[in-house]
Amino acid sequence: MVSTQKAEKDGKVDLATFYVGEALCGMDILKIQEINKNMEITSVPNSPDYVVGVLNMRGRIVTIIDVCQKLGLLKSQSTDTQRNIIINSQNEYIGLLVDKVAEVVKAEWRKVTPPPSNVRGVQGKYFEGVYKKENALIAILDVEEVLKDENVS
Amino acid sequence: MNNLIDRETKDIYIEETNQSLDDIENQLITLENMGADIDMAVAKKIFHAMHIIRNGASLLSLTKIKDLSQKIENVLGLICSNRLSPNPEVINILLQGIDRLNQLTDQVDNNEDLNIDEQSVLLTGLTSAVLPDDIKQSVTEVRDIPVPNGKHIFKISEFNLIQVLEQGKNIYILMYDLIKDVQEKNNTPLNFVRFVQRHGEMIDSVFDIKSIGTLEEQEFGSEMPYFVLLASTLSCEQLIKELDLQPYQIKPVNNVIADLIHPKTDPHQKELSSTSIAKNRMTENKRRLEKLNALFCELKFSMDKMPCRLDNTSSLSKARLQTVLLNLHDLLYQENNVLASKVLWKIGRNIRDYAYQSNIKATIDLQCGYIMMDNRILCRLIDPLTAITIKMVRLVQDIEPVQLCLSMGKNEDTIALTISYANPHMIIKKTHIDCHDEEKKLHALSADLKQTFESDKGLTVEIRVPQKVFIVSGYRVKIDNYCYIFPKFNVKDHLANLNPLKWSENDSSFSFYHEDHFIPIVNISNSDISYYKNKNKLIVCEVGGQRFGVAVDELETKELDAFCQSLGKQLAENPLIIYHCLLDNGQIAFIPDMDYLVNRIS
Repeated sequence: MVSTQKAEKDGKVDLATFYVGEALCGMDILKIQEINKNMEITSVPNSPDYVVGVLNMRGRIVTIIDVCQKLGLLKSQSTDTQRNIIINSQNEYIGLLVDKVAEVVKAEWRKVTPPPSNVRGVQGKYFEGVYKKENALIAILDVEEVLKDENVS
Repeated sequence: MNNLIDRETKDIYIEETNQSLDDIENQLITLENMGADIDMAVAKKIFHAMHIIRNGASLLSLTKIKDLSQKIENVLGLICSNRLSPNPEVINILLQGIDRLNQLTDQVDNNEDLNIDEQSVLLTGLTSAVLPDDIKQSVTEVRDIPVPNGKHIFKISEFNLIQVLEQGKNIYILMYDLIKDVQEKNNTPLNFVRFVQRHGEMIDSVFDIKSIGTLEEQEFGSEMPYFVLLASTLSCEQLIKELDLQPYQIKPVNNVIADLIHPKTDPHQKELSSTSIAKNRMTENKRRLEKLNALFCELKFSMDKMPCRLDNTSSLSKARLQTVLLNLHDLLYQENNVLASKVLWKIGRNIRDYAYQSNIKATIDLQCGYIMMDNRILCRLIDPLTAITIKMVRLVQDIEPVQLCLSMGKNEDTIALTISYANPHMIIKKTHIDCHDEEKKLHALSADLKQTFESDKGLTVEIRVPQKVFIVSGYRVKIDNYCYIFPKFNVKDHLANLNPLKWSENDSSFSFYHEDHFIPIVNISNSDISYYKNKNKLIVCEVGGQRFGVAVDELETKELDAFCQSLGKQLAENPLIIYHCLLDNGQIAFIPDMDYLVNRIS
């Protein structure tokens, strides 16, 4: 499925890169609504562990997801470098809490290779592919897969 | 006869006007240099000079010159009455008007290409900007005053009429025959106008050109009716004497104008009155409305928590119920939600102001979706200076947020304001319009405002108003640092300083003695069952006739409105909470699922 998806994509893409645990991940910058460091997150009673809470983003209540936990890694440690990457997924704003935002990398889809079954402890299904940069590998996050309801899948 | 207003008259007018405009220009600069210490004599001199230009143009049927000088005169009138300070911006706009008047007089016979739209917009904007809200609309409101022959009407800006009436002047229609009263007396039309002007302010004049006849008819009419709308401090008798009139030539119209204006003087009066009717109706129906709202919320909460997997029959019933509820919600929403449209109106005004400053004509294309846009608000959104297209769009899918898009195209010289489906691709780049206050209000409605500037497309202001916002009245409580809103319709009582002796423990359940009964206590805390021991406040709720208590850490007895938003997909399975909502202070609170709580009793 990954290869099919990738095969449909062509041309260049600007990847916003960020760290989830030790994994350097990337995402098409056009999917990102904004990146903020607003950590005034209201925790939600009875919510799954990976839901950090909800955030008042200029009047809009946004659910913040700890990407680390959602991907099966250990809970993110609260640090100054943490950021919320706000995306719009199926008409809903969702914040992805990541450990650190890195740089924007220009990539070409044709150079993106299918992901291995495991990327630094994270299942390969959560990635669209891997892009090799000079001295690092960027795992391109499949956001919809990450946000998919586990019960449904 | 037709040589009464001939080339020579026109030439004299143009020559005098050009000279006058030069003087006005210099005097305006003098006025600007004076700063706050305005020399009223200079201001009034300019006003008077402009007045003469306007009346001359009116006589000579030079419409553009007349209209533009009227607008300049309005601004000058505000300066003379100390309502507007002649700061550089104001003077600059006035000078732009003067420049255009100069061009119009230079090309008096061939000025079709010279429009006065830009200058008019700027000048009207200036006038309406300094006027209080209740008079603002009068600047662009035009009233028809019929002349006695029934064939003609004066079209006068309501603002001018109000100004004249405020000065305590009498208003008359003077009926002249230019042949008899001017030509046969060897007078010239311009001198005649000046003579009339010495006795009052000529608000307008109408020249009955049709009565003159045409060359094709080979015969000219024997009269040339000329009607003057004059404001004067003199009485009717005094004017008859001073202007050498016959009594039939003068008609006082104060009452006619007062009748025209007063019911409509304040266009907002109508609005205020309809608001007041609406308010009365609201008050009368308040209890019923609250009940209905409560019923709706309770039903909606229950519906939202209904199991997804139902057989065909129940799915159909659910769908039908939901349709009924949504319609009900629409009705309630409309009753309660004027705020959104008010905010939109204000933003519309801001956009228009921006257009004034940028010399851009405003065209508003407004498509209404879910947001209630009643006629009152539409009237205020629409300005005679703007072209407007209104399309009512009924949105089908209620999951789609509504988007209001005001876009200003640089090339098209227009502003477009549209509400349509949300476009997910929105980029924040540059903010141009100060909508800070409106933004806050929009946020209270969980709406979002974004501004985008692109050099090719111009400025785009996008407002996204999520559809699923609705208001629930309730009480705020805090339990284990979580803030909840308990819906008012479920809350029956709140108790503080609980008497420890009123607690009862039975096996693993707890109850509290309240109004002659023991009511069960529901634990929604994360802590163990004896959590209530740390809490000394209780909120008493009732769901479906079942009363129960919830022990809380903090309790506010003051009712508040919460703007509810649906839970995100990641929280949709949360059994405890059914909505989250934003409070006025920006805090997020949760609305507990009361069905879930009542089910926990057993």
